[in-house]
Amino acid sequence: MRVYHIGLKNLKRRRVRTALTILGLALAVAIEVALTGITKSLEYDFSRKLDEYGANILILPKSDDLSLDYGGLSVAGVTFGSEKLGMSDLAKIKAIKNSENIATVVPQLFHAADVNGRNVIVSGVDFNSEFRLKRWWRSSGSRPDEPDDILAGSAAAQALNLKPGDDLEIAKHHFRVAGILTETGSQDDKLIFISLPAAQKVFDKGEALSMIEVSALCYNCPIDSIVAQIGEKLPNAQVMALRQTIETKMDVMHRIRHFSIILSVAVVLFAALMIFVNMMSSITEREKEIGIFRAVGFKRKHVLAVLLFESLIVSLSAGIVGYLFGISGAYLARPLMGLHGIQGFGIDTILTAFALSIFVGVSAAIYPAYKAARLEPTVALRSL
Amino acid sequence: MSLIEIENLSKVYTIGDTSTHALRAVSLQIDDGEFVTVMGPSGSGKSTFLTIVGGLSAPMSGRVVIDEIDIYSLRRDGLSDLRREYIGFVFQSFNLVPYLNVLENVLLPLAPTGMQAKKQTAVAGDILTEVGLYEKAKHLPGELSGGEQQRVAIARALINDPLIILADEPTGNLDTATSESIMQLFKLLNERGKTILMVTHNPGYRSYSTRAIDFRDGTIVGDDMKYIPQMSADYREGREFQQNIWTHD
Ligand SMILES: Nc1ncnc2c1ncn2[C@@H]1O[C@H](COP(=O)(O)OP(=O)(O)OP(=O)(O)O)[C@@H](O)[C@H]1O
Ligand SMILES: [Mg+2]
Repeated sequence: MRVYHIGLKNLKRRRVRTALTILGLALAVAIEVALTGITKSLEYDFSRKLDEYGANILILPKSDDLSLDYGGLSVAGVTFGSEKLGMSDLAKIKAIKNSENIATVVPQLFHAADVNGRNVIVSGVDFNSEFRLKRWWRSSGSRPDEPDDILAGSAAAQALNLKPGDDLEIAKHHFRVAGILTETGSQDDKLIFISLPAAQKVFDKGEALSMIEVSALCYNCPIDSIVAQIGEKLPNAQVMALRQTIETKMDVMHRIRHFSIILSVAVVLFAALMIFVNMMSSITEREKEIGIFRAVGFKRKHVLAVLLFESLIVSLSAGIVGYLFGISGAYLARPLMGLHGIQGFGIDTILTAFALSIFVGVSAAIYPAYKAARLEPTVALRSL
Repeated sequence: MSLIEIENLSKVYTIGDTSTHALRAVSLQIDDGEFVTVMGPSGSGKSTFLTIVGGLSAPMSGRVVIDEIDIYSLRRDGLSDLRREYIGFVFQSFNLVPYLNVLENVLLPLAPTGMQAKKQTAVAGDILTEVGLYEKAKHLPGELSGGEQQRVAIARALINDPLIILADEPTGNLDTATSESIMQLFKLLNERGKTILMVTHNPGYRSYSTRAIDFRDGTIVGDDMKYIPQMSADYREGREFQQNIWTHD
């Protein structure tokens, strides 16, 4: 017989109590595991949606000619002489190392034009990706799908007195107003959008582009390294991360995470308190037995070993049970949270679950066990 | 030098404003091989005396020297080692661990020693046979009679082959016939060389002992020595062997 046998025997004798203690701690572990899983999944899901919502990387030609202001950024080259961005660059962007993080690549060409006697900026875009990137775009009329269709920004439409179905001439080419954008409050209101191939044709720009907007899925991805990777592929371009967009997203992520951490900490503290109280009362019940151990020659460390071994066993079991409960709980909660999958049930979650359960279980037992080991043997033996 | 040298032991228990003088400067020498019964009225300090001699609680003043070791000058863990190597305790209420079976209760003092499982079981088997409980090794204490439980406690006290057995009213919870058989067992152990210090309320049990001490109000008021037994040469060798283990530990 070894000292730890005694702990095992005691746990077996007090089956119900042992099971309840394991269950209590397991519940805390389960909540922590489930919260971590759900939070990670929410973050993942949320950041995917947010990342699709607007670009977070902007690519411009390198130029000193800052002649157009776009969304607070100066866009070079409305009247560029040397085109540095082209259609071939789109493929290069999609070929970077972190290419799986690239959600949308939106090319644009800007050109000033005289329309109905007024000077406006015409933007050539790929309407599909533009609508995908700018989910807030709403329009009256129909979505442009013919090569000569126009989508007019609200301010431009007003200035030119346009409505859906109107005919229009741009650079001696015929166009038709398909839809009018409802007011967006951005630079887009003042623009007239036509398809990119049409713009390249009517302005005689060949394959040239004025700007590329990229939306990278940045859940746990280093935006800086994506920017660097694009910069490497496009040495003549200026690649910028839109910090503000990213930080807003991060802020939302952090709030979700903080909420889950606070909840986990509360639950874990509660479990620790429960184990502590349980251990303290169990020590009082076991005073006599501890007196016997001491009388037959156990040192304090042997008494400590018996008691801490017991809580180690309880903690390990709670770690296993809690982990299993946690995953099951997270999976069951999926429909409630509107999630399709659960993220983050890797080895790190298992290790965290065990570390947490052992830390809580054993640290809550240390003081009661220490107190028990310090009992004077005669005092313990007198409690008959 | 006697096996146990007790010098001027005093102990005062203070609870609130009331102090009880449980022991007042008690001195006594007990030689190897003696069987000493300790008698006296309730509250006269017998149990206190036994726990101090057994290294379970420190006196307020005085010394206990066992086998030339001043036991309360030992560091804390040393006192635990001393209890395990030199002393076997037997209590009135048996004090078995309820969730350990007979064999495990007997093996309890060996649990921290690192002795091999095989050897442990072999030693315990011999001792259980000796106290007549080999068949019940797998029973829990709750399934045994009082006399059987006390035999388990005695077996546990013997497992480390200690020099000294301290027993506090070991027959206090047993009927007359069972008590007699337990006393027979103690007598046998004494004849095999164990030094025994036993508190009892039964004056009839003096006949099993070689010496009787009387306590009153924390002091010894009577000391009736009948004879000092001779140690056999075999036994002495065994003792020296044990001493070597102790000093090299
Ligand atoms: N832990 C304690 N705290 C306070 N007083 C104590 C304690 N232990 C013993 N006493 C007191 O010390 C005195 C001696 O007690 P002790 O138990 O040694 O007597 P005893 O001779 O063994 O009595 P009994 O025959 O009833 O077992 C008693 O007055 C008792 O009340
Ligand atoms: Mg007593």
